[in-house]
Amino acid sequence: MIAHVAAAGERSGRVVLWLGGTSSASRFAIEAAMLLAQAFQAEVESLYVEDRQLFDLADFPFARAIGVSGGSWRPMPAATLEREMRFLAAALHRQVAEAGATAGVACHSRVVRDEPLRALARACAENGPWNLVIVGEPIAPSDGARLSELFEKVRDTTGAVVTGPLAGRTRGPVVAVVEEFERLGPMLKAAQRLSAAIAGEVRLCIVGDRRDELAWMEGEARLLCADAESGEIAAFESVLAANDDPAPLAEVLRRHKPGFALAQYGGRLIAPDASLRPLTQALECPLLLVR
Amino acid sequence: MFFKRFRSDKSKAAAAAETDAAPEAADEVASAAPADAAPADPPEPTLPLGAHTNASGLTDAASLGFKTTADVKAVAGPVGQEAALEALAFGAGVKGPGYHVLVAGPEGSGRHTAVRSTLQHIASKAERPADWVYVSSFDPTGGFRALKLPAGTAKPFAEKMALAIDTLADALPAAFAADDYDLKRRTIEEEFRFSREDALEALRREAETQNIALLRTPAGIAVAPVLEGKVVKTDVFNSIPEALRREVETKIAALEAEIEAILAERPEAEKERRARLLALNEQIAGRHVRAALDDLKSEFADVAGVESYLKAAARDLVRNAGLFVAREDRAGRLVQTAATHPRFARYCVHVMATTSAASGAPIVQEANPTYANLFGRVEVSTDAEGQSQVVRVKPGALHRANGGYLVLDADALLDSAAAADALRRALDAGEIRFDPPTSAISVAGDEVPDLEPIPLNLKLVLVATADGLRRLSASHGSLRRLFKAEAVFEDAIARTQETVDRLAGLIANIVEKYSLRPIEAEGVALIVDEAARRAGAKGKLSISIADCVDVCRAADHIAGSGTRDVVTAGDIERALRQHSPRTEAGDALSEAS
Repeated sequence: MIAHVAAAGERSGRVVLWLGGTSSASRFAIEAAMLLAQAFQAEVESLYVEDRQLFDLADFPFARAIGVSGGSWRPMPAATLEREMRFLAAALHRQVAEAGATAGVACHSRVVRDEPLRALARACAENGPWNLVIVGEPIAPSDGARLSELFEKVRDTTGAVVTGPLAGRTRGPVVAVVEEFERLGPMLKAAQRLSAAIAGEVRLCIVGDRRDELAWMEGEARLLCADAESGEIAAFESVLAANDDPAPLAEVLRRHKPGFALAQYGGRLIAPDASLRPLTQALECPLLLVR
Repeated sequence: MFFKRFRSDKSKAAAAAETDAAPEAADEVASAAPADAAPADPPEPTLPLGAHTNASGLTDAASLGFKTTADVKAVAGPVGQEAALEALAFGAGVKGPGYHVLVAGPEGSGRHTAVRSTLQHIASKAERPADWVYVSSFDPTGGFRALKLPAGTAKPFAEKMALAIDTLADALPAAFAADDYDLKRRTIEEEFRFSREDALEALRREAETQNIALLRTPAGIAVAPVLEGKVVKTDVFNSIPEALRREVETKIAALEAEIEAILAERPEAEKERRARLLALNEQIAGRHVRAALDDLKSEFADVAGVESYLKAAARDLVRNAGLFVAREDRAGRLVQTAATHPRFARYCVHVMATTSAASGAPIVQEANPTYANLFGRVEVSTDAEGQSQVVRVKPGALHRANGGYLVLDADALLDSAAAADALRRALDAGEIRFDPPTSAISVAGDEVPDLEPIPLNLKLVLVATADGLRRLSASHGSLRRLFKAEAVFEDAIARTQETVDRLAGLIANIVEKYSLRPIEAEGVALIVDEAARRAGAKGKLSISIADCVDVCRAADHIAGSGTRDVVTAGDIERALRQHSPRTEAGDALSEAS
């Protein structure tokens, strides 16, 4: 995990910016990649995956595509598809390179034709476990299964960063939503390193399903923070979540207006295969999901 | 002229020596005469005669009846121009439009002083005219409406409007940053965004059951036959029975039609989303805008046009609430109030005419009557997007004098033919229409904004010399015909007991006004003689007040240099000699020839 990188005091890692699929990448996803790279002294690999299945489809005589803004169906021959993908990849890579130059982050780019998650997994595997995947495309409420598949198939990553359709910020406090005590330390350190990069304060949100558990966690968190070497915690918040409803946590993200957020994948905020609607309705900043 | 004056002085000295009629005065004059004067010269036979003259035709200082001007009652204004003053008072006093006054006469004859004092007297008793302001019409033309406000209320109206804008600059960003607005906006956005996503997701699930997948491509969405989650290869697809292939193709076609239908709803849904967001913005902004304008609305409820203006302003403010929440504005407000920021120029109230509480009708004297100085000026600023907008409408003399008097100099007006023509048109039409002379080729964005004409009701007082009058008649006959009253100041007036006494009073007035040393009667007599000489005819005086002032001040300076407490005849004589060198030089030349 990148949080583990932070916990271990390691100074390096790699950010893989996963591009492909739709025609555009979120500007905030690219910004998030640069911020993480700055925070963890990492490089950014901009990976554009040409989905091989689309070329399989293009072989059919009836293969057609329609723009998301509507219009009419247009034939989708392989040559056209390939040309569009090349141009799109070049444009996205240029966008990333420009952002990297501005942020002073080293960026590399690559185009591969494969099944997307397999390509991502291979790219991560090539460079060891300290990868962090940034999903370039904003997530949709129905992307729960896709996200679950990402965590399942791409093993050599410490987490993934997603942006929502309402993304609009990368500046502001760093909010860490901690649901399990054993993740508190690493997540806190990751949040502190991020906060240095984006010049925002750290706000800690502790989630539990019992009051006594929450009180205990908060006490421990305060002790931990008192011992922490870098920075103070600007705010503590305890959220009593008696069930798996993600709404209270989504509300925390909405209320704090963070510039970056951290949460645990598979927790209440993002349960595997669950609808991402509560999250997409509240998420206005990049969200780092740790394993 | 020096030569002539010396001769007259010599004759005066000689006359004093020959007659014992006024020995004291004669002694004083003799002592004030230049040392090189020849006392034996005979009196000049062509000297003017009239009141207060002695046998030699010069003014008899002793007969003036005072020792110095300190003993004389000061008299203001021109001397012996009663007919002109009467005509001026009549013309200025006639009520109603179209009765303009032409004041003709030589320079220095006291025309301006007479005009000023006459108009002040009449205007102070007249009613204060209404105030006028220009406000944005808030229509696509970007023009301005003229609003007539009760006298003295234009400035408070403008200030309160500016205050309302300042208030909104604080209130609106806070309102739009509030959580309840954010939540409402988000709800609308999401409803729109996810309604389509939901429909596509439902379709995707339905397609999955039929082994068909919706794929995202760089160009948009595509539909493909799948088997176990993977797109079927063409060779596999071609190997299945044709009937099955046809069935799959039919299903794909049906799904494509459904996708097309879902996406086709987008423009309509987008329109609805915009409408709902607009309604929400209007709801939030409207509340604050109404509150900000409430005071203004109630205070000016009875003034025609104000309510409709405030309604239009409120509509525009609500529609453009985004202007107030732009981030850079916050920095801007550190150095200036929101109301003065060019971004909010359209809400600025431009005061064109107003009067103070103690004043009557306004009197405006415009020394440089160019078009801009008469009809006002519009200042345009270009914003960051390159859009030009009017930031200030400055009133001209016509606006300021509206309801009162406008005093212009004919020569200055005729120097600007375009201004004279425009002035004549404005007086003819009875309205101030901003239509400056423009070049046939202009730069985009330099268009003259449409300013609603303001009704014009003023009395024009045009002060002219004989030459100016000739130029006016020759080049602007139609303007000349607008003057129904004429006050003509004579070049020379009759030398009577009264006019000489009044001239002495005038000199006393100058002494008093400029805090000069008192002038001895002999000095005054010399000035009277100079006036007589200038008249060039017997029994006449030609009095230039301006020249009198110059001579008195110069003589005072000379007396001061000689540490005298009073100005003597000698001082006056030296001053007369030094006065008007151009004319003197001309005379000297003619003498030499």
